[in-house]
Amino acid sequence: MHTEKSYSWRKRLLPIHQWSGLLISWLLFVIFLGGTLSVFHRELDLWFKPELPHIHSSLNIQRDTQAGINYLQQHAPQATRWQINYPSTRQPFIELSWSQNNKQHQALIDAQQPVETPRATQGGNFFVELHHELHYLPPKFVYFFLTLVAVLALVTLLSGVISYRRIFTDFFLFRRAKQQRWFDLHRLLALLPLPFYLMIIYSGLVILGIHGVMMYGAAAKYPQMGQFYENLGFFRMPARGELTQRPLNSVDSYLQQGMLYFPEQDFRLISINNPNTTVAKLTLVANKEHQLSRFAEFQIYDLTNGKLLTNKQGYGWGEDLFGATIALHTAIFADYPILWLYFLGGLAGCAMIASGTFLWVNKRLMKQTSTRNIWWVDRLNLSVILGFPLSCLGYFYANRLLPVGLLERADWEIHCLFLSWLAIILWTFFSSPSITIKWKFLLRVGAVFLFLLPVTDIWVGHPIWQNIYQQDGVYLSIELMAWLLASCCILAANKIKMER
Amino acid sequence: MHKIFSSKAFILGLRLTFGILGGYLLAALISMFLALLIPHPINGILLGMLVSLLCYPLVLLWLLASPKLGNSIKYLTALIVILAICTKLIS
Repeated sequence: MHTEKSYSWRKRLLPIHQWSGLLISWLLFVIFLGGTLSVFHRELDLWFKPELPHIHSSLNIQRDTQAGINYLQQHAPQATRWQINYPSTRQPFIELSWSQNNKQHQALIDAQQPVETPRATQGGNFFVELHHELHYLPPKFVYFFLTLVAVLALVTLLSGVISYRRIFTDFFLFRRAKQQRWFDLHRLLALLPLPFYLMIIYSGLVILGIHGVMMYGAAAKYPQMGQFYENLGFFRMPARGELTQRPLNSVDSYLQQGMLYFPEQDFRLISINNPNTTVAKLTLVANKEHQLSRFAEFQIYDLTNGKLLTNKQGYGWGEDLFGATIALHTAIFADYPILWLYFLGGLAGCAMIASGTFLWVNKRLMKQTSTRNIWWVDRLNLSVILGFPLSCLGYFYANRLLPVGLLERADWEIHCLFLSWLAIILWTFFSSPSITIKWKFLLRVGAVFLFLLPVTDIWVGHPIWQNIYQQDGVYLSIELMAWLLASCCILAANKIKMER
Repeated sequence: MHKIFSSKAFILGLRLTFGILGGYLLAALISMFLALLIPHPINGILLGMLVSLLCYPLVLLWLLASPKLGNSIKYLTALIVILAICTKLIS
């Protein structure tokens, strides 16, 4: 009786796994790929700004703060908020960001040469934005929509694990027959990093929750939501409005005072809300690099009268648990080996989604049913699973090929990505060759562009021989990865048989 | 008309709608309930969020896979009503 019951549960879960998986697969693939690339967003920033000096200054809090404030005074005196992130092992430059006219701006400078590179770009940050805001769409809507996608992704994962009965006994089974081959690959890619997928999707859901999707608890307890965010360390600033101007005081004494409080005597970042006004506030955030928490100790000073307004030292268990969940998703604690594991986990996720959609098509092809559905799924697979990574490559090329002085250059780099994706989608849906020929063609195009990507580094003054000589890990990793992927594309193009 | 209401797609749509909306409502109530139950100004809110977002996909999975949709909707409604009353009582 018990076996029958569990069998019927499994039987019911299988179509849920197949259909909910298919429904979200293409969007989930884009989100997974965006997330995978944003694991190395700081390193990609360096590649996207080749004019940054190769030799950079070592960390010096006082000097770096002064260089950052000087730059911001010159370029964004009217901003509502300034933030200065200090150099770290992953990002050897001072990262400045500011909010002006409801837009976020960012610059990387070196303390010895405090000038921004002429190449306006969003760099690796674009992938972070794509991953959780999907670009072009209103963020509020996207957060709710992504919550639904994340919930369906968890449903798909759980239903897949439960519905397959011999999941552990067949773990290392690998068969050669076409349909079974895709199935075995899909199962292996799903099971091996399963804890990673569960962790990354659930923690992503929690991040969406704090962005407003599940804030009912806070709304029940705090009449002013801003107070909750401030208690947490998410610093919300007041609207600029009509504020009285006042020159900014030196922040040196606050830095020295802050160093006495923090055990490591080190800061990750400082921020100034409403700079150059009578309500200017300075926030010092302690450096908690390599600790599994999103939250760090912080102090807030009133820059007008020098009073210490908040001195947050230590967090409760709820904040620690929550902070650890967010840190697990964003990997802010991780060093390079862990970051590479995140990257590989993300790639495995993309491959799992792709193999799932191929399996869906192959199963129906073998049964020779629903040809109309197959036509659509086939083309969507090609335009997303191969088309989207190729258009990401277009973004890399746009960074190198667009004129440096182009107006709104950073936006145009992103437009290039979406325009090239649109072109691929139109070609996929409206051109006459068979789907197999299209796969082969796009794989070969991808291989050529990937192979030539390191060549573009030559005309921005970073030829591969120089990168080897200078042991530039960022450039070498991207160049080698491009060639590795180019080889994979050629192999895949040669492997595809003219079956359909 | 009868054909439409008894079709697989309609039933699946119904399950999805109840799962998504009912699950969200239940999750929202759990987060409010735990936030109000735990006196700490932050811990309860964060724990409520963690627990509610864990429950949401499970409720959706339950509604999608349950053998009798009517029964599941009944239990879900009962859960929502009980939680709403408890939340109101402690607020």
